[in-house]
Amino acid sequence: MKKVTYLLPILFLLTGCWDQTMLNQTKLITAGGFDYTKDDKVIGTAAVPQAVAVEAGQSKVADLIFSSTGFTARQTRLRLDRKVTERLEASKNQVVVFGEKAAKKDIYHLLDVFYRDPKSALNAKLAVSKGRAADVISTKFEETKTSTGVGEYLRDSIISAEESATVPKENIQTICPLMFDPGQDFALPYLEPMGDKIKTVKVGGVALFNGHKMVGTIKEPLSVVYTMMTGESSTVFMSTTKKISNKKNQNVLNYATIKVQKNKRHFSVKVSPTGEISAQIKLKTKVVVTEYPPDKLSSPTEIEKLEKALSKRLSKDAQEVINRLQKMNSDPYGVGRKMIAFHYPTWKKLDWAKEYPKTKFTASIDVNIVDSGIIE
Amino acid sequence: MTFFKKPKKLKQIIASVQKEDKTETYNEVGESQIEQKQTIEDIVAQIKEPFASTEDLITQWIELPSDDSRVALLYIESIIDRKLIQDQILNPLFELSNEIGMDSLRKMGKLDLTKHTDMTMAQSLLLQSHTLVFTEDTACFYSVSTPVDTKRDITEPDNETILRGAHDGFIENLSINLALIRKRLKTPKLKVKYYRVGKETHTTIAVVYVDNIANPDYVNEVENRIKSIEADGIYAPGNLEESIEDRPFSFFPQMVSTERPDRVAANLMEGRIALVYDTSPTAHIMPVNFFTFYQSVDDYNNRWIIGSFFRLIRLFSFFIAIGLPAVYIATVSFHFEVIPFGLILLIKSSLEDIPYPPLFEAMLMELTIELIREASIRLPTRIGSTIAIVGGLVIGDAVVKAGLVSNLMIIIVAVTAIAAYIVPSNEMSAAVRILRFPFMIAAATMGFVGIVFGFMILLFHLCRLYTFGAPYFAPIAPLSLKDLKDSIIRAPFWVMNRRPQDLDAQKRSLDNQVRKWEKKS
Repeated sequence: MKKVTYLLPILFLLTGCWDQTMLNQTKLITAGGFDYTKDDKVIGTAAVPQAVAVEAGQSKVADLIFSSTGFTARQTRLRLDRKVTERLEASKNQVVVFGEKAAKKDIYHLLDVFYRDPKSALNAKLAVSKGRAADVISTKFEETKTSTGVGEYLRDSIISAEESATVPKENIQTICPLMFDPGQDFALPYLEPMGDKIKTVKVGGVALFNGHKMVGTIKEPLSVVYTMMTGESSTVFMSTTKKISNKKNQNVLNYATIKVQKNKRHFSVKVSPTGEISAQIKLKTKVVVTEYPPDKLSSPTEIEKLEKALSKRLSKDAQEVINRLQKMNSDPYGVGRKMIAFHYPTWKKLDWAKEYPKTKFTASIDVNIVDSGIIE
Repeated sequence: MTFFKKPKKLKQIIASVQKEDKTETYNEVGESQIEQKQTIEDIVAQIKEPFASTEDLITQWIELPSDDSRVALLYIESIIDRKLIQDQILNPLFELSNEIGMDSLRKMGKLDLTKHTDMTMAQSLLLQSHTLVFTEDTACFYSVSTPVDTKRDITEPDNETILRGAHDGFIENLSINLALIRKRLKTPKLKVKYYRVGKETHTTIAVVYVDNIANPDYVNEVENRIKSIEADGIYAPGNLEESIEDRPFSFFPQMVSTERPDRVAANLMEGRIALVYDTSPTAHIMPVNFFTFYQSVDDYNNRWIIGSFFRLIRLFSFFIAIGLPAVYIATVSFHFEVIPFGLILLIKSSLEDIPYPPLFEAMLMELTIELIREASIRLPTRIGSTIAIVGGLVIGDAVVKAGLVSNLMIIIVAVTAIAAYIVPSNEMSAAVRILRFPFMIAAATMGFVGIVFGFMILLFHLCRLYTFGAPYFAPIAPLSLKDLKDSIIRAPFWVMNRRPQDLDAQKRSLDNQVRKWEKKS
């Protein structure tokens, strides 16, 4: 007992490290951006909200944007820290934006710092911005004037795009294994800042990657077809508007809007005895017609006609997506992964990066209308 | 005072007051016999000697008209009822004593007198509101119980109010208290044993249990502990509680104290033992487990689903009351990454200008709450409301406006305070309130790890704690799934057909043959 009375205070007082980090003595980063200067230095930009307590219980958040340069991402962060009072913390980071040029170089070099810090926010969204990331983060967007800061604004914009299936759902954690997978790539949201007077950001589509590098974009609305083919069975509002005829004199009558209820993907990769590789994605889609200006959807023949037109149109789009992916040499659907899994000897002999664009890759979408809205 | 060293005789003494033939048996054991040839004056003087300068000891000399013999009445004026003396002694005496002697009167039942031959009894009888009657026959004396009626009304105890159910409560009178229990348990198996403790205070304690249910081991244990007490005074039930509880250094109360006879009766039927006190409305129930403190009479009067819900709320409140300030401190000073993004800026902005660490902030507010609580207990109700305004509004609001404490802290402290008072038992509530301070310190030094350590130590302690040989953390450790039905939840009446295992009752099964009727469809 006597020993314990001596040991207890020693245990508490003499252990050197104390990992206390006080919330009110830190500065939180809510959005981070990376660019490169012309001489290959990293420019790090961070949005740090300053909570200004206006009155008891009511506070206003004002974003302060800091940026600094350094040779690596970590160095820029350390230099940023020196520019602000208190300690910078990235544990509540909401979004990491790469400038298009930086993304085309290599994103892993910049992301490395996130994977090594146990406190970093792995669920932060990633995005590639048209132009410089610093510009996106430092823009005074219209919505940030009234609601919360830029980090939340960008994150919510991306989440809303994910819900409408414009972009696939990805974050820092989910892309990590894909970055190192030789058989599969990924795509990130592509942000386009818009407007002169009323400034907004638009999620304009997806930025495709090959390994660590960005290789191109697929813009909305084609990016919805891209997302459908990733195997995502449905999102909150997986929707797209397609032109299905040219015959009507009023342009608006040529279009139909569908909302996907459920996708079922059939994805196969085959190697013929002669060594020819062919991949095929077949998508069976149950859709709800949410808009069809010509109407008359009560008749089964009309529905069948529309189904056929949509299938034809969507299949064409799907093939277009595939062709573009092959041209960019980006493999987000994981044809290579299937090769590794099922045809390893063949795959081992190949230089996949060269072989993939030449692969016979086809896609088709079969539309089945299950509902046509509340009008009978 | 020899009988204090031989407590077994106590029972006989008490019995002798009520049953006259026992007096004779006691006589043989008695040590100092009254010497013959003493006059009545000698005897009275001898009895009065220990009370030397007490002025409320009255001696009243009466000359009997019949044979000129004298009778002396001795009583302590302050604790007797003169009307009773008149009715029970003087009137019959004057009416009849000229014809026959005192002894024959007594035997005829005209006089409600008890005959004693042991003079050592005289003193204790006097102190128990008896009036002593001395006659010329100096070999013996008579006593009659003439207690003054100072009972207050039977009211509902203020600190244990319930919504539905009986609204009577114990008072400061042992026989009334026992009557309230007997009224509920009309069985010959309900045993009452009197003990008198305190060399000077002679506090009467009744050990109450149901004979064929309560485990005799526990009964013996309780009785042995009470017998072993040698103290000048046992003034309050708290003194006795501390004298016989197992672990006086534990934060946790080891017996339930209650002022509700229905609660006592229900626990007796489960196989527990109750101590009922004279001069105190509090009764103690033992052996108990942790969950006994979370049971309320209301649970059983509510529908069982609702009762179970309240029971769960109470157990949940235990964790809030102990852990919430600690979790808050740990979160804002160690692990704020667990706070959702939508909240973090809100919390951060309310914390931003607080000049001291969260631990200090929490301590300050917790102590303030305790101050307000302590003040409002002592004050009369009219001033009490002033305290509520000063404490609640002024401190709560002004402290935030002055920037001394964050908004969030006020909320945390308020929720914690409410959670602590949800416990139906006042002692457990106090234990919980004390416990949160070590948890707060642990959280401020080691964050969540500290809280985990705290709960581990708490669990060790609870598992090791035994009361009168029964495990304290009972249905959980040792685990008895069947007993969880009346500890975590309140199962319906017809399901409760076994008594709790930890009490090791003689009769484990409960006859609950209810709902046997045919349902008419």
